[in-house]
Amino acid sequence: MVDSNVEKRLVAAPVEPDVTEEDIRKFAEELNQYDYYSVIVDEYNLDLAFKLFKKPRVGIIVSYPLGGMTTETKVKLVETAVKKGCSEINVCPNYVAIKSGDFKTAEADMKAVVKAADNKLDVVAVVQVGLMTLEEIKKICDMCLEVGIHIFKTNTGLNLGKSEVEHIRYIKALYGDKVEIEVSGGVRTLSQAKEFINAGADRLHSSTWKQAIGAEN
Amino acid sequence: MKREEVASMVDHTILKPQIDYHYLEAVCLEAVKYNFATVAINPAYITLAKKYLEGSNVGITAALAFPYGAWTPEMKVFEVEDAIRKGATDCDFVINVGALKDKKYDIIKREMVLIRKACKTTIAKSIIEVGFLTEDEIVKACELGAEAGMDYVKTSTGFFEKPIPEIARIMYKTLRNTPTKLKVAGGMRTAEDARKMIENGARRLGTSSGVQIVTGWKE
Repeated sequence: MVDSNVEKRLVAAPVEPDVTEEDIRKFAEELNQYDYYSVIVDEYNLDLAFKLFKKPRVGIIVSYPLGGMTTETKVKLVETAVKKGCSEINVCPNYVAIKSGDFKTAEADMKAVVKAADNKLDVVAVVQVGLMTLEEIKKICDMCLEVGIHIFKTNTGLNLGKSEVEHIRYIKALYGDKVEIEVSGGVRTLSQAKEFINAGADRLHSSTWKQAIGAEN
Repeated sequence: MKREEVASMVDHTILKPQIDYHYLEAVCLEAVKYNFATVAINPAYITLAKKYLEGSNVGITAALAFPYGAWTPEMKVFEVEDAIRKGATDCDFVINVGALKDKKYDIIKREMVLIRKACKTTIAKSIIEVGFLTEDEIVKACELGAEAGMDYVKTSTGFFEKPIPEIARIMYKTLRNTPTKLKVAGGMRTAEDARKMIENGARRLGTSSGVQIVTGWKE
């Protein structure tokens, strides 16, 4: 049975390397039967997504999953998202700069993204917790809060690490209600989804979303 | 084949996000030491790599529209132009795989024409992500790349399913009477892996194992 407390937090994303128009149509037909939160697509599929999904909450991925696009390209994508009326973007920071301790570069990059977003949409920063130490996670969150980002997505999936319940507890313990957390990478089942929500996750992304919201076993 | 010739085919690739600048520098210095064709990196690091490679003949391959390729042609051209401005010598971009599967060839033609034009003399490589394609789609993607004057058609991003030599063969057969060459990327770890791909027509090798391949190469 569908758990409405999980369902309303679902961020669904038909983002696959070979996703076709037909795939997105089918995805929309299924998803539209539920009271989900939002949908994330690739930039190319934006117009189609606005047409097919029942809710106006549509967003795009920005520099996903590697974070290695230039600031100029990230900004261009964000400007496109704003122009098209997106509700949110999922943006990956410059992880190599972060791993190098070069927070000046990483922060300037995110600052440019926030400026381009112009308060017109929610900026969701992907922390990539599976690749980071707890100290790095804190530094990324601090940096994002500093430039005005308060929504964090834990992971991208794609063999770049998994989210653990401890990651959610850690971020929540640091920032409490100042932040919103979207958990991604490691949410396969309804019981896992509930566990993450109990730990403080506000939203969740899952590629097995029907199982995660309890619509299928 | 001489070891130097193999080295000159290698795009020494480092795309994973969990590295730091020192690691990137080390990869660049390896490329210089072994005389690889290029280092293949994410575009945010072109400026740094340019500094690390100064005074050498090693080029810079930018991984563009990576790894999904599902952008409008206009977005792709923006990123290509930005990468060239920063110093990319090679632009490896992922084609719109979904559009290919939807048989919306006009989209792919348009992105390729625009990118070819933006690249001018910069080397352009279209990545077709063979792991998701049927044989007919692979042939079609190669034909489209050759028609648009791509310098190379490339098998894969390396993020998903790895190419096998039989697939390289199919691509090579489609490309061999055109000026467009074949780049294979993904899954090559040893000199033997590379040899199989070269025997099947590869003229550029996208790999993070370039050093193992070249040092293990038997002439």
